[in-house]
Amino acid sequence: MSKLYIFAIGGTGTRVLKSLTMLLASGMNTNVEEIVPMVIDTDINNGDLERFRRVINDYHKINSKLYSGVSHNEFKDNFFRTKIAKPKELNISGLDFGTLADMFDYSGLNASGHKETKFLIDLLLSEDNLIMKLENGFLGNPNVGSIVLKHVVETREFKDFTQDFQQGDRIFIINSIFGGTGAAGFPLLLKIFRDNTSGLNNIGLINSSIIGGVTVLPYFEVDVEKFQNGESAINSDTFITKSKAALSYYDRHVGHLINALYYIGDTKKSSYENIEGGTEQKNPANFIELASAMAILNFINYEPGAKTTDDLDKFSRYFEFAIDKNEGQFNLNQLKEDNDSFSKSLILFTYLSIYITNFFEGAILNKNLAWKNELNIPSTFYKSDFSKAAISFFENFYYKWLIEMSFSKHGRKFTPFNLYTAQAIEDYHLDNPVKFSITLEKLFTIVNERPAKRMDKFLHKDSIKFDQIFTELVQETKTKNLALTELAVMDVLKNGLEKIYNERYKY
Amino acid sequence: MAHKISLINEQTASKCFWNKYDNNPYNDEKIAMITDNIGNIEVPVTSIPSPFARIHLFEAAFNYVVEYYNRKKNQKTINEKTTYHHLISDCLDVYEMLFSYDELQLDKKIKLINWDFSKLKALQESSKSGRRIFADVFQLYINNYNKDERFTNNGIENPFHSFAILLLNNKVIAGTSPFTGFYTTANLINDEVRNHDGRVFFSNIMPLYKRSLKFQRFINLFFESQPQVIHAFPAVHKYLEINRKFITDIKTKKFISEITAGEHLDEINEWDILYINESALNILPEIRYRFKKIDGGKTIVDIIKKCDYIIRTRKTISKPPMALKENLKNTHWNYIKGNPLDENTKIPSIDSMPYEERTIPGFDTIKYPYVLRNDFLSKYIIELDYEINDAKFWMGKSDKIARNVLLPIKPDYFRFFTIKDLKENLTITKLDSGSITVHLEIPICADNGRAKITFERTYNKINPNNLEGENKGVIIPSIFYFGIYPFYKSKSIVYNDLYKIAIFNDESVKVDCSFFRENISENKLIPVSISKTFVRTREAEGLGVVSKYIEISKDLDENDKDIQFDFVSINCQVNDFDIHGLIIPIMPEIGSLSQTASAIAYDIGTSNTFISISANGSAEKLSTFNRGQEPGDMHFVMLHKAITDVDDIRGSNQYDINSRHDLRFRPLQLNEFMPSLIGEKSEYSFPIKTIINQDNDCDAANENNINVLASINIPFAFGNEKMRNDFDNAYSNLKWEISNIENIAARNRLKAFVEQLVIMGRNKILSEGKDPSKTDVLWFKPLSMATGQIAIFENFWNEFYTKYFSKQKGNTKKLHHITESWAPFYSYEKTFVGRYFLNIDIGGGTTDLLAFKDIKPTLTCSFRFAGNNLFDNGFNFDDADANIGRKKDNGFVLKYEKIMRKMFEDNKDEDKLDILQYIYDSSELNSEDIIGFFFGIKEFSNFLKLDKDFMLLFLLHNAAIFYHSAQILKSQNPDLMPTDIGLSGNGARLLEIPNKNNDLNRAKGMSHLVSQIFKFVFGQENVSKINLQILDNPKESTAIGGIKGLKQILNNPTADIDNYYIPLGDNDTIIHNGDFETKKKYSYRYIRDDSAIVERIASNYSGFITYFFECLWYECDMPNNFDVDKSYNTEKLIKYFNNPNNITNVLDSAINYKMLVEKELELNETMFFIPLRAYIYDFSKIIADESELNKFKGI
Repeated sequence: MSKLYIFAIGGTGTRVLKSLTMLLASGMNTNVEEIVPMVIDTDINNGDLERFRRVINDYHKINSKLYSGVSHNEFKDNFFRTKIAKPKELNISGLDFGTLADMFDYSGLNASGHKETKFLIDLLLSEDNLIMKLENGFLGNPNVGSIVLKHVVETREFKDFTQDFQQGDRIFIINSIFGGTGAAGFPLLLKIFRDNTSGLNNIGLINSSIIGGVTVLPYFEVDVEKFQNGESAINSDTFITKSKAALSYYDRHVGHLINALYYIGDTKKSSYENIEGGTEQKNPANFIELASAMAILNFINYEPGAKTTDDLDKFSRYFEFAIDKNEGQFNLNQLKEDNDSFSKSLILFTYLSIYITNFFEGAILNKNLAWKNELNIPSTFYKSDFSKAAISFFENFYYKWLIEMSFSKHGRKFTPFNLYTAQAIEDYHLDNPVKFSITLEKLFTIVNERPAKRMDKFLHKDSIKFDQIFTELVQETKTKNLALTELAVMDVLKNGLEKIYNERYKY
Repeated sequence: MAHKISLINEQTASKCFWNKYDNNPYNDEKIAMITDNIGNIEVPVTSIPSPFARIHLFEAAFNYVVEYYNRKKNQKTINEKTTYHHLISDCLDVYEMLFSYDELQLDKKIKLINWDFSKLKALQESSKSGRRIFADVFQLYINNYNKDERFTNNGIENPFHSFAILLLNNKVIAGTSPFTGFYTTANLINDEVRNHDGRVFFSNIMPLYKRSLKFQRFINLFFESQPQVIHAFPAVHKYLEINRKFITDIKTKKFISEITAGEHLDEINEWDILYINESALNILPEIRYRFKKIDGGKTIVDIIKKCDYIIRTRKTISKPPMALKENLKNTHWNYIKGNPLDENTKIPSIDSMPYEERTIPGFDTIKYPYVLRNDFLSKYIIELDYEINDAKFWMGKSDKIARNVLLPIKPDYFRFFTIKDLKENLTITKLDSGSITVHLEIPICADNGRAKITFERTYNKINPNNLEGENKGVIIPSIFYFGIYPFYKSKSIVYNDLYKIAIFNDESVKVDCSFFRENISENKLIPVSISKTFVRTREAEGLGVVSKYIEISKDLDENDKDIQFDFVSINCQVNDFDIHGLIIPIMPEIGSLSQTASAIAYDIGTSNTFISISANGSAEKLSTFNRGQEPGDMHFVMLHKAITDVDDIRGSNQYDINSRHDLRFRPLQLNEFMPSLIGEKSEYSFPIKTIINQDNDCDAANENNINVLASINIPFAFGNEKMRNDFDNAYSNLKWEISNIENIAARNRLKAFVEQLVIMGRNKILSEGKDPSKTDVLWFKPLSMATGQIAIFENFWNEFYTKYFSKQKGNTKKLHHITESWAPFYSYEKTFVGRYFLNIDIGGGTTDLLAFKDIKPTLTCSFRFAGNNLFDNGFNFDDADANIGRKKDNGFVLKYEKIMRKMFEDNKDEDKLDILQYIYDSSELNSEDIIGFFFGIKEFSNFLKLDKDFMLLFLLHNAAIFYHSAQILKSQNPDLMPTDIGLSGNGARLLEIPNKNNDLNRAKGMSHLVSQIFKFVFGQENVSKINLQILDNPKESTAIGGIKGLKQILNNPTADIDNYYIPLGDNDTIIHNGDFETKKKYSYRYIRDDSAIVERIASNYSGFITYFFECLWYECDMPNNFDVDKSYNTEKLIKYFNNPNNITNVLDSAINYKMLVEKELELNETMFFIPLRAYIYDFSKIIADESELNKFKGI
């Protein structure tokens, strides 16, 4: 596939993108030239969005250091392999409008001869709809969102997208059905993409392109008390009822416009604080978002040869996600795979993170370390932009992402790794980089319920010796004559970790 | 199969990860299966992502109710009060209001505005970009809607191109909708319009079939005569079809059925087209709405003069109804206006109008309530497969009573009569043929108040589809069990605060119930609302039986709310038949509460829990029945009758669901709820195991999921009854699991455990007629528990105390917490005046020391080394945070699991085998729980007494406690040795195992060993033997001592804290709790970093090991006096138990664990026992492995 444009709408959209970034960092799926995130949020100060900007910034640095100038077909499955473009923010700040009434000058409608339309508006929209402040999104009023979001089409970023669109490119839309922004944006975008008369650039290509989307159904609830005493406009008691109404609308008016629609939602609910957008809105990562990110990988591989809707076997298809058992806490063992590729990627990546954050600096500064010397890595390398970005990626984002998914407030806790230490939790809560210190002993039990194979002898404890293995494999990397030090380092780490995986986990 | 993560419960998919489907998994049928809370709360619904959301919403409402009806197939679904029903009612109000436009003279009030597509064009030319965008969006959506196949396939062109908007007094109230005809504004409609009955439009909810018959005829004709209307408004049409089923007026029903057969369709033209300000109202392109022109004639309501048919009742109600019956003939009695009932007047058998709306037979114009047989007597009678407990539930008066049927009386009876009326007038008789006849006499005014009209019916076992005639009814067999807790009412309304109703039914029967309270002054029912319902064993779980728990309760701030109920209407759905039956529980009423002080003490231990209540000056165990009156006043009463005529059914089992009943239901009662009797005379009695049983679908981390006696309960039958591994999860170690403060689920489980005990204790106190707010409530805390954890305990004790006892926020005056060490001293009969007394309370998890000099406390101390540490997993500090499944590999388990299993197999004791397997398989239960279960079997202690290998560990464990206790006493006062040692707590019983019998003072027995240890530690040559005191039931001493000594304890409430010492664990460092300077110095961080301190602790431990094997072993001649294996090589044992690396390693990990997991900063208990604990576990495994063990034997 050429490019995948991902429209991520609202807070859920950016959180799914963050999970996708983690999956891509771990080396999953590279069968696309570039991923272009298109972020739509009326709330540019949204905390989730800000975190995503930072995560992608690190990813971008690492990816470009490693693979600039490397052909698309080389080093497949490597860490940080897929190119992610700098996110395009199609932000229409709600602040620019104030309220819906302000947006179309409601009070002036009568005077300017639009009396009948004003009556129609009075009937279709409640007073609350009209005077709701738009700065924090639509707060569960997608009917308002469906009007305001049309401004997206007027943005320069959207115009660039239509301009650049080529045959074979695909579009994917992430939305949550129970909020405001996502629920509104999804049908609106589909209607625009599938409306031949809309006058967009390249509308013919867009109209016939393959479009997928994940619709996230309720999977968390928020502190209802804040709604009841008026501190917040978000009432999760109504999430389900609202979703049912919207699902019914999708069934009748949306399904026939999309080619692959992924649905996920959960009866086991997480409970979050109730915050109406703004910088405070930073919901912890959740497995549902990870599963939604996997929907994107699934979509990339959905009828991979098809370039337009005409090439598809069937116009519309639907997808739902499953795990092995209905349990509130689960790990990699409950994600039964046909092959082990998902688990393997995450396990390798976690070992990489542990190595980089705990042992890498020591290795680089060790004058006698063979693999490092063979690759002529200078001792300043651990302070390079690349190393800093990698450490930051793990300490600021990857560990936190894992910790968050295991929070007890989640209805479904995903706990693939045993990264829960008091220090890490404290770091997390203080918003510091998470220092995940590890003992050699714990390296064996880092994957929950899947201990690494160990070969202890009496009075002689087995251990996982990273540097020894890298040294064994360094010659292989040397023969590749890689121009970039970063890529050479990553190559030897990747091969070494593969070896560890094969010895310790394939049994 | 894999489990789908979806909004619908229990969906499966073929594999994990994303599964592909050709059709939408969320179609209408599936959407209907998503559970939401509409119906429970009223919610604003603005969730459709379209500017036209509001018109969708009305269609969604019709669709919802139609689907709901299709699923349930009962009339109730049309009558509910959800937002959706409201929207439908509002929509119908527009239809009806416009239909009555002329009659209600609305021409002055209502205006019509026509909007059409061209108005958008004008907006698109606006200079304001916001308006252009608005117009673009509308155009985009309108184009899309117009392409909807329901329009394009049926010749309806561009229905979204024009709308009519209705204004009432110049304010927008409603408009036309191409989906449902009409819809209304989301804003409040302030101006009132009333229909001819006085009902205000847009106020209450009114389904179609209850509306005026004329309107119903019209609206059905309007749809059926115009196919385009049906095509465009399919949801409304389906709703009309459903409502037709409930029309009771024969003529209207007939007319409508003729319409649907294609007749009368032309008559639509007889209704006039509605013009409002000269413009016809188009509901769709070219479809005009019509209305009724006034045809004059008013109804006159007459007043009933003297009528003999008026009922006589104990109620005082303003319009007592007449009672009438088909084929009634009596020429003497006055009917209307002084005339008798005309023989041509036909009395119907049923009138589905509300009583207030009924017009009396023969006089269409006179509205007055009257009642018929079918209003009171059900056509079906529910027959159970067991006899009903007629001592507790009123069963009707008759000589030959039908003992297994519910009363076939409808709740409406109590609109007009009282329970007392019913008791005088209902007779149920079982005929020899098996038929049941029911006579319900209705007293009326005739014959000077002596006359009665009898409603009667004979019920037979026939197919209900074959039922004919009003005199006949059907007996419907049904399988369910029912129980109420607590089974009493309190005159003090404040304390009627919680009822739990358990319903266990066969999956073929769906049972619901509603609760009502009698009232005597109004002709209406007072429903008592259900607070919570929880289905625990669900139909989908495949057991064939279902359990449901209903809670009726009120919050603390609703003290005045009355939740008492007097009768219960049971609704059973059997094979699609909806059958009602009535239950009248005869609950005793507790009168005014006695003000005499009473007390209740809760000793929640690590493994066992004991609760004591003060009664008549002495203390007794908590029970669920009343003293002396059993079985008269039991707190939990089930509907079925007790089995009292069989010898081998005794105790609680007499009242429980037992072998005489359907045994599938027994686990529901015993595992999920509670036994009928708890206390003396019952097989379930305190002390109980500290275990909680949780529904497998319940996530305890979310407190909202925790509902005591619904989703979670104390399994009193644990160890006696088979548990159900697939449906419940049992959890132990409740008390200390909260030491990991991140573990919210553990905290919630502990809280639930306490709450159930608080409820039971409070109910017991109340049932004895005592005032809970005058009751001293005591709970015990271990001194060694960290402050954070104590705070957790305190918080929920305060919460429960105010909720159940004081009933006043902030009032916890009579709630006392007492340290565990403190109480046992007062449990002894003897006083210890002039003596130096040391009490050692060895519990499951903690040991508490308390020294009294001349009955004044001089030292308290507590540490976490006690009974369980012999059988646990040595506390793996590395795994503690990983939350992984628990191991059951303690050596005792490794060895005795096999032995006990074999014994059960030999005895063919399947139940015990099942229980063992259950505990073994349960991921939440530990080694200690297996051993705890074994201790309940008498052979086990005998096995242990004979086990020479394990005897070593018992002796090490016991000796260490005394050794370090002596050190602690000595550090405080080197010259003073105790004269008496009292032993309490369940762990104290373990001393009897090496001692072989329970006389611990026997020659060369335990007291000799204790004396030797004290002598050695104090360095004294000649000491007389120390007396050991132990109670028969040492576990009970804390609770009993707490109650007996409460006065002294409260007189000097801080004596325990004032004298609280924390030993370091070396041989002489002891820190007074108030000595902040020293405490600050001994922070865990400091201890960790100063290896000399750790070294001192290690060497004190080593000193003990050396003393034990080199001196004590020989002084006490352990092989002979305590039967420990002679062939043990003490030198090898010293070497093993004294490995310095192991000792420091385990101390280091323990210190880290204290800091990182328990978040302790300062030393909070001695560290002496830490290495021993690890060694006991390790060596227990060696003992279980003979070849390993042999390395420690011989030369």
